Amino acid sequence: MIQKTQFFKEIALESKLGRLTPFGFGRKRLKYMMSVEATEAGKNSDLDASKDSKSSKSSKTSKSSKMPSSEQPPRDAEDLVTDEGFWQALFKSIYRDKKALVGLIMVSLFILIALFAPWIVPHDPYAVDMEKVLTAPNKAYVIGTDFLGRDILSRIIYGARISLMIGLVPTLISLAIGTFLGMVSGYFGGKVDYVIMRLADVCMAFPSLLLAMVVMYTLGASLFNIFIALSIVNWGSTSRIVRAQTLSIKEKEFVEAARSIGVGRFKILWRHILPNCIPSLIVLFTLSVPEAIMSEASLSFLGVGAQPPTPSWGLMISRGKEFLFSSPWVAITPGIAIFLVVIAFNFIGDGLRDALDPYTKH
Amino acid sequence: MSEILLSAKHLKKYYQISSSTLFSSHANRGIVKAVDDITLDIPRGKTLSLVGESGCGKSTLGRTLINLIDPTEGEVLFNGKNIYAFNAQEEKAFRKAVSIIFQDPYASLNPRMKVRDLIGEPLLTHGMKAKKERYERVNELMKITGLKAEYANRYPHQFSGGQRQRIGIARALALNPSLIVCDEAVSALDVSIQAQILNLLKQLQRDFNLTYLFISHDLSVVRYVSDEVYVMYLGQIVEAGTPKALFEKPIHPYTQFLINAVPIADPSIRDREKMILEGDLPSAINPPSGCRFRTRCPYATEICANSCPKLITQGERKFACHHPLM
Repeated sequence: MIQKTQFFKEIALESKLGRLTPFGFGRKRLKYMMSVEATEAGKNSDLDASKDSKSSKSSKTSKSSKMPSSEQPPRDAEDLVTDEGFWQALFKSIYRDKKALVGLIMVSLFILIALFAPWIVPHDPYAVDMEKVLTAPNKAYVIGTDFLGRDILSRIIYGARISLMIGLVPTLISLAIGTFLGMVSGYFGGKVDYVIMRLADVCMAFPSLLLAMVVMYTLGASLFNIFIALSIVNWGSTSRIVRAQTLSIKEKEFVEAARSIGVGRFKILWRHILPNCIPSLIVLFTLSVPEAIMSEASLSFLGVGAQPPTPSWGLMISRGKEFLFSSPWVAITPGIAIFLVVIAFNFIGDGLRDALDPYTKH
Repeated sequence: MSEILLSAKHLKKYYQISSSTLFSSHANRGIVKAVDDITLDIPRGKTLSLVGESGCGKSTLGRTLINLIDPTEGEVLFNGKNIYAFNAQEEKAFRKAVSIIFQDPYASLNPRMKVRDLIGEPLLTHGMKAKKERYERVNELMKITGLKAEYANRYPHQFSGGQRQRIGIARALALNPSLIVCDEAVSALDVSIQAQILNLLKQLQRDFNLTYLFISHDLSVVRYVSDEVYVMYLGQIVEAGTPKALFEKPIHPYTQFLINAVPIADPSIRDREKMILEGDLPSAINPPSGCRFRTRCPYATEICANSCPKLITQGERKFACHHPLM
């Protein structure tokens, strides 16, 4: 109960000072402010007292400076350390970076739309209505209908689901493959390293879209096969980056300490190398998501990706391009959707990279 | 003489300097003799120190002795058995029996692990799987090393240098090792913290009958902690003896220079002319012929260039010099 009232008091004070932040980071700062105010108040009262007798001033200030320490158990100098954790610092710097914040809001919106698509669409995205073919934007169809009379807005909303899935699943798969192979390659070195890196070279030597198209032609065009194609295409660069990270981390003394203890090699990878690769993996992930979305759109546009009637954005552009001059909304609106999502992810990625790069830290 | 815990016999560690260019891979640029034919014995329950300039191979020797680095030649006997010929089971037992404390308390702790997992890692690795039991032992270790138990949930960046070094020590103590290699364990700390940590180490030695291999370039620290001091120069041992004998009556000119280089806290004798070593350590890739110290030695003569002095044992002391200061 006491804790609760304390908390409300703090909230009230915080909002009064204008320090209420969406993530609640103001609390620690506020506590510090309050302690500073308390000591300053003490000093002020001393100053008033010193008007009467200057001689007593010094003794009283020394008393007031002891005041805060008498409230709390005495802390030795070694205790004065930052309490800020990794995630907290990360969110803080994202919050400060306006561009990244915009990206974060847009991406959250995108994810929400994708998750709740069935409840927010105005029309059935698959419902063909030949009487309303290529209707211009109006009240019922906010951005018009396509050549089969389907509502474009609903199709774009459903397309968000596909883009989200394409953005997440193959990226996570290729990230997992690339991270594992990169860590093994960097840590074990020698022949293992040589073989894995040549494989990565082979994957990276082909233009990624071309390689994805080859895979799609071999496996057949379908959404599921896009997952496989994009996973195969993108692991190379991840493994290179993780390998480089591993090479630098494995020389650190804490890895040597683990070896001296007798920790197994794969446990060292899991416990010591991987957690220290996470910052770059986060950046890599956020920058790979838009790339995957673009690739899916390209593949679908070229006809080897998602097949009609799937409401894929790339496919919608491909089908709409025939009517680009008569009914431009059919092709342009899904293009705008792709553009917004990709740029939002890139904003976050850039913000994260700045936040996690030790050289740009203040 | 007490029982020998660890002994090195003609231990060598050479590094091949190779550079692979486009046209010639592994073109030999030379060999760095980081550890060159070293023989030493570490008695149980004692502190043996290695001193020398930066780059003389102290750390490489320390790491080779506990098989963190593969040697080029030679063998190391631990309780009479060669550590490089261990099978998996013996290797595990050896890892349990030795541990190492590092110089840099900022680099030797994984920044993404909590203190209790850092200290608990050796326990987990050597079979203490039950969480409760493990954390109890961690608390005990934290108490021994003077850390508050409520810090167990913190991350290393929330500690000061001295506290981190205590975490490192707690981790090293976790498995009740018989040998701890202290690789510049106090060099990165303030003098006041240094004293705390050194006293802690000494007390732990008394309580648990620990053996230390103490690697340092700080002679005053070495004098304080050691039972026996080995002076290294360019991968070789040039002199060894008890700290008292070594510091009061150095035999090898290099030892004398090292001792002269220690600042004296007494201003009345501060202005006294001292012989100070000049120049850098010669390159370990092409070390001087004969005695390696001859290029910087004021007493060097022809014989020093022609033949490498052997390590001679004289009573309690050992030295390798053609012109000993006796």
